[in-house]
Amino acid sequence: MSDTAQPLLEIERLTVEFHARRDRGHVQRTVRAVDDVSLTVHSGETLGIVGESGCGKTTLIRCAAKLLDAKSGSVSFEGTDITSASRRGLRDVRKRMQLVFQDSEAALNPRKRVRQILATPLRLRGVARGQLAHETQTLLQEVGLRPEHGRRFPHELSGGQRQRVGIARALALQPRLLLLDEPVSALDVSVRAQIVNLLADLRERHRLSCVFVAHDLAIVRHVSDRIAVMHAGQVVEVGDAEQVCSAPEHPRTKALLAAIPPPDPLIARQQLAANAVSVDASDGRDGGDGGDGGDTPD
Amino acid sequence: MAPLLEVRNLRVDFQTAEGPLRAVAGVSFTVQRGEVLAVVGESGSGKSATALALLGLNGGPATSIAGSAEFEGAELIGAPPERLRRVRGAQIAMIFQDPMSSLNPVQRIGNQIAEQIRAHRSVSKREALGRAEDALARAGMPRSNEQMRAYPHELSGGMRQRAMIAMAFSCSPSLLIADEPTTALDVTVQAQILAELARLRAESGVAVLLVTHDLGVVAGLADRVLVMYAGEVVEQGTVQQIFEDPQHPYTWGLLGSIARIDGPRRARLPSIAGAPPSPLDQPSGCRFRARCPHAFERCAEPVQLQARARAAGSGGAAPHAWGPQASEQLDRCLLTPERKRALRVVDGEIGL
Repeated sequence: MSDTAQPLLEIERLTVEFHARRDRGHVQRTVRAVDDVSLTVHSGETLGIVGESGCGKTTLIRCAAKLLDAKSGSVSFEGTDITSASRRGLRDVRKRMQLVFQDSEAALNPRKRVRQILATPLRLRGVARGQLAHETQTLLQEVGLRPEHGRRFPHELSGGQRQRVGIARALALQPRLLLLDEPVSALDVSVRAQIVNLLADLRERHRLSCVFVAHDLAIVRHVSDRIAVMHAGQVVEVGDAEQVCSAPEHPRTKALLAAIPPPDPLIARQQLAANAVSVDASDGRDGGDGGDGGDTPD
Repeated sequence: MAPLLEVRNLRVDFQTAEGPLRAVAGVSFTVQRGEVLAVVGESGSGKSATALALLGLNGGPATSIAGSAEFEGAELIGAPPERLRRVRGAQIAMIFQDPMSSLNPVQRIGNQIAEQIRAHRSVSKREALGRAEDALARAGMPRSNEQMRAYPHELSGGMRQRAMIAMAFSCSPSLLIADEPTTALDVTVQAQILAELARLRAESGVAVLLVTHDLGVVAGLADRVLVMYAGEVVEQGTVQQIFEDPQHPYTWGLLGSIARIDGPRRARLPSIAGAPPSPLDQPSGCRFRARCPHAFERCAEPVQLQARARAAGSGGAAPHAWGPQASEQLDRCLLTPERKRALRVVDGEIGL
């Protein structure tokens, strides 16, 4: 954690709305995906954001990166308000704030080789043409890939390797802040651990700050300094990672904790039986469209 | 009593541009009536290929499936398509990872379930629709009569999986193959679906072949576990044996990679270094040895799946020829059980 006075990223009273048209009856429905959220990320810190699908966590970080426009509220990065920044003004900000996405297959251009994918941000950083090959190799090595992976197309890589390319692309600009949107949810458990460890190494080596979005508290707990729990567009609990996991205060945090399958056959069986009873009570929420930013708080 | 399903020396080969690829290299196991057998391994370990081969679902001109799989006494491998069609959905049902791509996007949920019922039972459309609604209600679908008319895209991921489960149970199968049933879902929905599966299994007595990469999912549901690596079974045992006394270093790695909510919080999670070997170029001996932190010279020797855990004294004192003894813990690691226990503790990755 940092003791600098000014936070690196400051989200203040942010609200994001989507307008959905109901197909039956043409009633315009407004979905408030992010509802009056305030959060800060300090330099060198990792903030975890957890919540079920549709709680607004992806919308929140997309808005923080200015990929979406807010209805009200503000986002400040390194002390400057970027809520109303122009495209040109955002260029500099985006070099220092990079995103890594959940679906690495969709995030990488399928018609470019890995080295071409990495060359674009390197050139933007001002790396000379003659240095490109060398810098690409350094990047690949940094994320645990071999030089020959540079020649591959994304479809020739495994899911874990593709996510490493996604991380390398984000690092190419030498950002201060990484926004990671479910970076390991689509990966196998063993690969998941590898990527989490890679992120831990990179954070330390480059003094990176991160926002780590996921639905699984067990993973978030290991990577974050602080955790914010979201539900229905709002932050319902925020605090020290260990504190949130060991002494949760909000019922949604408790529900997220209870959902993690315990790796012990006896306890797991008891928990399954308990869940079977409580299923009906919690079902109301699962009737939405399943997309991110679904559930409306009525 | 004869097992419900007995698989012997199952092999699945794919012809690829780079040469033949053996996805499943001689897998044998049994599933008893009402039992949940979990098949666990990383992507590419051959677990899905095994499950799909049972129903001939990964067939095609470039695939060859060999070996034997007897289901209720009748051979499935090489069975004529007409017979397989009668088995699929009725006696052996399947749930897949991605319900969006398994459901027909232009048909209402109710009609899809009714269609399956009518394919296997001679009932009227109205009767089939009634049964479909019952099935949805039993699978925990809220407002099931309304959801009968929903299209798949109108449902959330969890609800779609419930529709798949309803379809799977609609013809009262005796075996359910669940291929990564909760992998695409978030943790809270996963917990609900797992609880639902546990309840339906208890009610219907169906046997389940649960394919997953996540040992955490296995703990609550499975009776026995088969750990697969690079197309081979590297360890098998009851769920207690696998979680409390795992024998193969690969199983230790899988257990260690489960992110835990209890225990110390750490920046680095235990993980298995590297990636599985290319199926086009499998090493001799133990296929895990290139990634294994405890490999020694003998690992290059061919290793059989044997009961080693309870063999007293030095390793392999009571070598046991492979047979379908269901409760036996078998593994493919040459280290002595004592040495394994010591190494496991040093690794600090097994928390039980």
